[in-house]
Amino acid sequence: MMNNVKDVGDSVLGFITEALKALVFDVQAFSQLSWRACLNVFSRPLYMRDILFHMDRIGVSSVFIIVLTGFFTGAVLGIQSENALRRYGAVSLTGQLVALTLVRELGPVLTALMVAGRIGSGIAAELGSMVVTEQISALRALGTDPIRKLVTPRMVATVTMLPLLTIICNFMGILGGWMVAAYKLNISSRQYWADVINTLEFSDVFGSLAKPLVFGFIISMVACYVGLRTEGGTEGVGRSTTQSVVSSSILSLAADFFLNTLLIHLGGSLNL
Amino acid sequence: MIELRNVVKTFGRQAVLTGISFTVRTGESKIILGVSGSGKSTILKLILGLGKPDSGEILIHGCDITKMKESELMEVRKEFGMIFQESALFDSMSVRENVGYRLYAQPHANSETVDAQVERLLEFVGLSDAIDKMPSELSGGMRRRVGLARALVGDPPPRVLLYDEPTAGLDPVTSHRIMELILSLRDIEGATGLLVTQDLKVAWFFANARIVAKPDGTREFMTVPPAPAPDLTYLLLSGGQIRFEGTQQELLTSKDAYVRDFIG
Repeated sequence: MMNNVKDVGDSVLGFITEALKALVFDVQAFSQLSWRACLNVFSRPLYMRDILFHMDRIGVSSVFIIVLTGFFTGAVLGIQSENALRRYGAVSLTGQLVALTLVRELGPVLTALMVAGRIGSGIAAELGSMVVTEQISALRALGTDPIRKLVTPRMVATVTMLPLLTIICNFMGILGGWMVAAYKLNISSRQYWADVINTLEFSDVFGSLAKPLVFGFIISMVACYVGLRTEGGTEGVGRSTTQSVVSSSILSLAADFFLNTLLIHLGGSLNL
Repeated sequence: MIELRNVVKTFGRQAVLTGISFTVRTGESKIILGVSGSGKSTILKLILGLGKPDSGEILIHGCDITKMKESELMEVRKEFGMIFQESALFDSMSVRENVGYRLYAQPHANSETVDAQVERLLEFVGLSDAIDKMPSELSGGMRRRVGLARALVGDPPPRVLLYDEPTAGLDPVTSHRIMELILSLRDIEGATGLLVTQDLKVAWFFANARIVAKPDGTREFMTVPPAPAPDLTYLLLSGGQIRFEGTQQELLTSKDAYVRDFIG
């Protein structure tokens, strides 16, 4: 009996040790990849053509889904705010509520989640396929650094495009809120837009543009890391795709918490 | 010259190579035989620096590449051309871009010169018409030939060619066409070659067929030469170790039960 308990204990301990080792290895490898991808920005060759190509694919091609996401989220916020604000006789403050919620939080986060689903999965699948078909080995055999050629352009493009997509998402959300406010809640357009403009402060806009820079970095690097570590043929590519979306979404949400804390602290310190 | 000294390589808990040592001289051809999973392809990748051994040394012209950084390996790789098992063509690039990749990627590449070299090599592998096609538009045999052309590009062209199962999964006619091209590189261009295969027919063909350049510029293919190609040796892997290394005559007269069983 005692031996059985000891065996189970050893197994559990062994499992935990292996899991921790794997985690430490992943963190180390991810940090190394990120560091090298960033360093490549400051040396040649920079593969500008690839950067522009990915900016188009990540940014321009995502505009449509971001427009829809932002618009409907703003519209839903408008409808839901009516319920909450009516109790206090403050339905006229809908513009403030929609603008603050979107610009401070929902715009950056929803844009990041949509891009993680659409672009992150695509990057992981593409790089994963290149690994299993030995295209990465071929690149190295032909004298090209895969991190410089494949990872850095995707990282630069995502970090550049995500703030722009967030601006579009924020604007479309406020527009959706206005539609509801004007046509359902009978709030005058002049009052809605005046509320929106007067409510938003520099710190709100700054936070809304700073967060996507971090989210873009996380999404692109996680997707590249997971893609480049793909094993096990086409089945492995599928696993990498899922892992990329899940990991980058959770990491983005976790980063959002810390960024909010930091921004609030900074806002207080700098009196923004 | 390539020299492997007591190379050990494991993947996870599986030991693939457990102390491999052999030498390939300049101009020599070596056929590496073995069943699936015996570590044949791993040897080629280690020679190219695409992976690091757990222990042991890999010397290229006397320099140990296992201690080199990736940037230093880039220089070493210029001397090598590798034909991958599944071609490994870049899906997002045309045949022209694939073949000329090594040269187009150079900082001050002259596109006209590169184009000329690409066209010449595609003519060599008989695929001039496919220059603007994408890899997805090519058959398996055509992809393999494009991969061969890509491996030959360089300034100067690579002098050591690594063939990883170059005819695996191809029909006999296409396989024959690919092998003729490989023989041309060995017999006419004088390239050093390492051929990895588990197919004895391919190994016999590589060892015993010849391509001879005639004075009028044409090439004559001979299938029944009097003796195996000079400077050609076999290496048979089993259980992560070299089970046999020697000439064709020694292979055929080996008393080792595993060797006799392998060659049938």
